[in-house]
Amino acid sequence: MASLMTGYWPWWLGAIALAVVAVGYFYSLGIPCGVSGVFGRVANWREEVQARDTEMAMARNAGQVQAQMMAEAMAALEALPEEERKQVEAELRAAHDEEAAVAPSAATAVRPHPAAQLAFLASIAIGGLLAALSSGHWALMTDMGATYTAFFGNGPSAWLILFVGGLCVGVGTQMAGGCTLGHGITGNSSLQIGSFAATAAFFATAVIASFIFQALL
Amino acid sequence: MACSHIPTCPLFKHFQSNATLRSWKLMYCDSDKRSRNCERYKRSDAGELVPPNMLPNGKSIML
Repeated sequence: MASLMTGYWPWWLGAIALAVVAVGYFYSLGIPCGVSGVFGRVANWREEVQARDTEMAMARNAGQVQAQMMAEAMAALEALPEEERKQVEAELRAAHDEEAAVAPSAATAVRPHPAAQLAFLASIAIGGLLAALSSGHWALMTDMGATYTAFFGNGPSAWLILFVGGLCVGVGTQMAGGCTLGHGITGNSSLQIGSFAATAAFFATAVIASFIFQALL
Repeated sequence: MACSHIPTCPLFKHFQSNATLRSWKLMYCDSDKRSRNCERYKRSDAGELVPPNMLPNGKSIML
């Protein structure tokens, strides 16, 4: 047990811990686990609270919601071009025989309050701090280590590059719809094709960049 | 191929609750081509927040 607190965990134990977090997050909160997504929901605090209030109202008025959805469904079906409407109606008749209905009560999930998301982000930092303190490796550092210093120095330029790098990460995760946790663990484990592509792209980029930096050292 | 947003779409569960609501699923979710007509898909794909009460045709459920 003591070795778990003083060094790196075995890879398999780390993998199990991450899987427990990702699966537990999904089943307890009903949304996929991803740090950039959580950060985005905290940043959009007001909109998230409004959306949560709407979801709570939908859950309270489930019968009314279902009735409106059914009326709109029939109107939308009627509005389709005739050929497409006939095709959908035929598929509907076929699906009616094959698919089992799901109870309406299962359809009224309400997203967590953004405060819960903020607690998740805070717990990542607190967990890291506790791990560093318990291992005896905690120290206040103002540099990014020897390799980073060798390339970018230790002055304002190093901070500027970190800032630009952070911006790229933020823009990139927004464009890709997720980060290493969201795509690499949650997306891949739920067999999302987009996550396979995203994970392949950012790992390949990291490997290539790593080789380039090693060659330049 | 079905819509890639199904795992995160809060309305999709509703679309399986009875035969009439299943028509939403057939009109918008069951194929990649049809899902591109979904207003929820378009907004989400553009990185915008999607109102929980917005239907695939862009109309809102009144509460």
